[in-house]
Amino acid sequence: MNAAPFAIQARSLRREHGEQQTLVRAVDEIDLDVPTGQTLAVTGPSGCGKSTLLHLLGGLERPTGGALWLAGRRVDGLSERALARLRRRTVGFVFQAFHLVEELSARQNVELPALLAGASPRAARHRAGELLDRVGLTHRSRHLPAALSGGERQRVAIARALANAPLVVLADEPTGNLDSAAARDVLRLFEELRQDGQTLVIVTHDDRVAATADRLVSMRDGAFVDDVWLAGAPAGPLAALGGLATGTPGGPTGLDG
Amino acid sequence: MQDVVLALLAKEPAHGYQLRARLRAALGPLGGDLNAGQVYVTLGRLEKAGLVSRADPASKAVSASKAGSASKAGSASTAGPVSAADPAPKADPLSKAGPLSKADPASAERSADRTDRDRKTYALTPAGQRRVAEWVGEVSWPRPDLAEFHLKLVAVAASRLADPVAVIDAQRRELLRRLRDAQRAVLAEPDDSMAALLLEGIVLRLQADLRWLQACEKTWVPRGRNA
Amino acid sequence: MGRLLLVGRLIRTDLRHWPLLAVLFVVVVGVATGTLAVGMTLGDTTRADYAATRAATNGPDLMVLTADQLPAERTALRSVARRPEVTGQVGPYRLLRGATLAAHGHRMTATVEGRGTAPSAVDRPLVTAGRWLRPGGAVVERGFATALHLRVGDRITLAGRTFPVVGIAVTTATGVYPGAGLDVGPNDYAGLVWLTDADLRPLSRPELRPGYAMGLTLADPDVKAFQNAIRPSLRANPDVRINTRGRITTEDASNRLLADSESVLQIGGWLLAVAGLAGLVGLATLRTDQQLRRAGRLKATGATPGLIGTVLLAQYLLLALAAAAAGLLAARLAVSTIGHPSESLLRAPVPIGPGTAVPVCALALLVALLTSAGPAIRVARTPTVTAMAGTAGRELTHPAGLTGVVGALPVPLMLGLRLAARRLRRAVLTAAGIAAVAAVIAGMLCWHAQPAASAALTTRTEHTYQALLAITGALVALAALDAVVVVWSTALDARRTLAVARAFGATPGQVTAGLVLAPLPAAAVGAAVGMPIGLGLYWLVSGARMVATPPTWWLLAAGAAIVAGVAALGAIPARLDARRPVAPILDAETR
Repeated sequence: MNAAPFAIQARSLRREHGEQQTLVRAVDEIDLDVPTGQTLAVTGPSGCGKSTLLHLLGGLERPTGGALWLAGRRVDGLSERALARLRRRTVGFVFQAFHLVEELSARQNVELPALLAGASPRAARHRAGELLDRVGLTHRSRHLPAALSGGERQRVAIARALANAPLVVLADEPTGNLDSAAARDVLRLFEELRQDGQTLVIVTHDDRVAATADRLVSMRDGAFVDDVWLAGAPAGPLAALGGLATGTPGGPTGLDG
Repeated sequence: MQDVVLALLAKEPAHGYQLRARLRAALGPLGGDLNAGQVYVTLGRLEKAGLVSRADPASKAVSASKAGSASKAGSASTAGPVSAADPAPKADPLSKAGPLSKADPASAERSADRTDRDRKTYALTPAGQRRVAEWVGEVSWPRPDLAEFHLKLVAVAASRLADPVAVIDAQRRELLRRLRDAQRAVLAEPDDSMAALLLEGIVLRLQADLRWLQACEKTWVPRGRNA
Repeated sequence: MGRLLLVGRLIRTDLRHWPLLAVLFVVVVGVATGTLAVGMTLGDTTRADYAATRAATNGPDLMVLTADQLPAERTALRSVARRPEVTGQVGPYRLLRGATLAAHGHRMTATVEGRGTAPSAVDRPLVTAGRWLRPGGAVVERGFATALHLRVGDRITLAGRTFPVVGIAVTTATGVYPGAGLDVGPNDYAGLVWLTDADLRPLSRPELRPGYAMGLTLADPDVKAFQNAIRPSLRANPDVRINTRGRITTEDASNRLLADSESVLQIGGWLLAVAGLAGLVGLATLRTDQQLRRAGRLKATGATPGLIGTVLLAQYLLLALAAAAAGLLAARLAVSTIGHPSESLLRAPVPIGPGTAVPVCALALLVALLTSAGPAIRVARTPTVTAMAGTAGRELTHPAGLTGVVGALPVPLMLGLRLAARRLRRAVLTAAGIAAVAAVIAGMLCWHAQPAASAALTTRTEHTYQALLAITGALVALAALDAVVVVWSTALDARRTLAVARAFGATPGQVTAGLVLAPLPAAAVGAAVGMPIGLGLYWLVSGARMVATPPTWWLLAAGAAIVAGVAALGAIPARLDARRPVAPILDAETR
């Protein structure tokens, strides 16, 4: 993996949508440093610009202003083609809607990025096998996405995102379309990735997903309003969380007691 | 309750009935059963503790505002039977006094006690001010008391002791850290674990609280801007 | 009534939203139906022209010609003319064959008839310019005069003597100029000139094969029976060498002038429809998504699948009828300009009858049905909720069969093949369209491969060639449209897949290449199938007179050129689409 100290650096990053009259600053002068190995969650209400920010970071959208470095390389001025090539090795995407290629089997979907990056079919197949094993779907590798459950599809999508061992995995509401059990499987995978030191940026409006990250930034109206370091700070004994310490039976929150 | 009353005094010295009116306004139907006695008992305790001092102002100025607040108090007392008792772990005598004072007819309270007490205005002592500052900085959980936190925001906003949004943020960070721990614990449990069920409950409660904080933020951010 | 209003309103908004599709549909179907209509009407025009000319000139039912100018032959002619079935006659008059006519520096072969200065009862040539014969003057048949650019007042040299042209006239006693393979009398490629008998006699020489000719009208229209009846008496005398030529023969000769063009155009009309279908279905598919969404909303408010299907079908049927009407109108105009191949006949107006209109409308409706049936069924059947979300289930239940091999291929090729494997119907239509083009191109090649005729192109072949050229042009234009539309619809269809591929590092170049490659297998198959079909059709149209097949490398080169053309044209929409930003596409799919 890349030895750059920062996976992502952004300075005064800006992205506007629309014309003069209807101009919307989806991302407004954002500064961001994501050290390699960090897991970062970006939260905020819908429409705050967090998805646009993720697209900018992954080079799916071009910034209208500011500077952006991926793996220490300035990317905001790159051509579409150069960006595509850079994405292959640097970025893996996980989308809310999974975006698996429907006519390809699970394994073929996972092979796709490797093949795009010029890996030999053998190597791509081997890697896909490894990754499907890692997400626990070896037995489903020949199935088409239509035959998979939502959670399985998203796990395939995560395996696909990891196919080229990218510097950073960018996830956009990865559990948005999943029920709670499937979401837990996906979050477990993200937790494993975090423990392995995978740089990870998750955009979500779900606090529960956000809480899996080391660091959490909140966005409103295209700008960061809060930047919390969650990792390391002691939150108190776990037992206290269940209300065991005070011996009070846990009812719904509010004016109980 | 003590902390809330202290914080309400942080803005400016006030009469007891003024404090009560503010509390009722902030609590809405939840404050329906809050009677004057509770406020005065609390004030008395605070005075004894040296956190609050009492002053007798000119009686004319007081009587003018007295009439207005009396009628307000009368109309508000018809609200529902929700208890406004303080569930905080700090043993507040008023929470025990709650059921007792419910029995008191409002008319008796009005005619007998108020005349004397209402003339006095209460103000924070330096010790009281320190106590208020501490309380504002406190982050309370695992026993989340919505009413207390809500009143804290109201008091903080009124007295400008701190930015309510900052208070919300502090609370949110704390909750997020706890959520993170709980979440990690959930993920570490196998699927069929019974403990996971309990942890799941904790996570859901934390999520609910965080959502409420979001609502608080939405309300207080524009108010903070207007002020 | 209210439902009718709703259907009408929906159709109107549809057409207004997609004017391009509506216009293209009308143009494509109009061209196809128009071509078919022209092909079917051409036969009628020559027939009508012939009938009009015959009526105007009181044309003979039977021409009787002698090989020589023997008295016995003259006597035999007289005896024929005396038979009771004969109702009118002209001649016998003298006739010279193979005379050389020089005018404006051209030298042509002419048949010269010696006629009276007064108009005859039968075969009274209709003078269209100048006046009828006077001593010392010549009247030239109109088709011949047009070919020589002769006008009244010009001078012609006939067998060494010069005559002024005093008139130009038409007749049905002979076939149209240039003759279409007549054995007797005014011969192949020979024109017709009338002189007074007095002027003709001095020209007479044995090498001009002088003879007599006589035109008869008969009471019984059955000319064959009359021919059979007179034959035994004529054969009795060995000195008498007589040939007869019935009206039908002459008329057929005139009609045959356009026979090849007719078949070329008729076949061309169907080929155009086939080629147009690929593009039209592609375009119709493009709008299906939009229509699906609307259909979902309509269903949610209580519309039945039947109503939704009706709206779709009705609008295509409406367009088809408009296109058929446009095609018939265009055919009428086209027929009046190209449908009168010879100046030898008067021009008669040709109404396009139900015999033409019905098959033409059927073709248009067939195209409309094939275009709309797929989308209509899909739109009507898609569950309401899926339809509203706009992500109508195109559930694929089997992996593309090629994928095993495909893994080893370069990325663009892999993308292309996978895109191609998605839609079998589109591939078939593409192949069919390309096959149609390949067929006419093979026909063209065949034409050029035939050994050059010794004479200049005859009118007949010239017309055929022009028809072939027109069909080729129209088909190539349609195929170009197809290529663009097919790639465009593939791009829209596969937009999400391609966006995902791009998110994972496929460059716009690779995506473009993939899109361009996608229709090529179908195009190659189409070219491979179309070429032999074209050769077969040529063989049929030419009446098995195909002498040579074009060299194989011509066909291979043409096939390669077609496939390359499809690739080049497909690159336009592919490139445009590959430049679209990825994020909005992926976003749109989420919502």
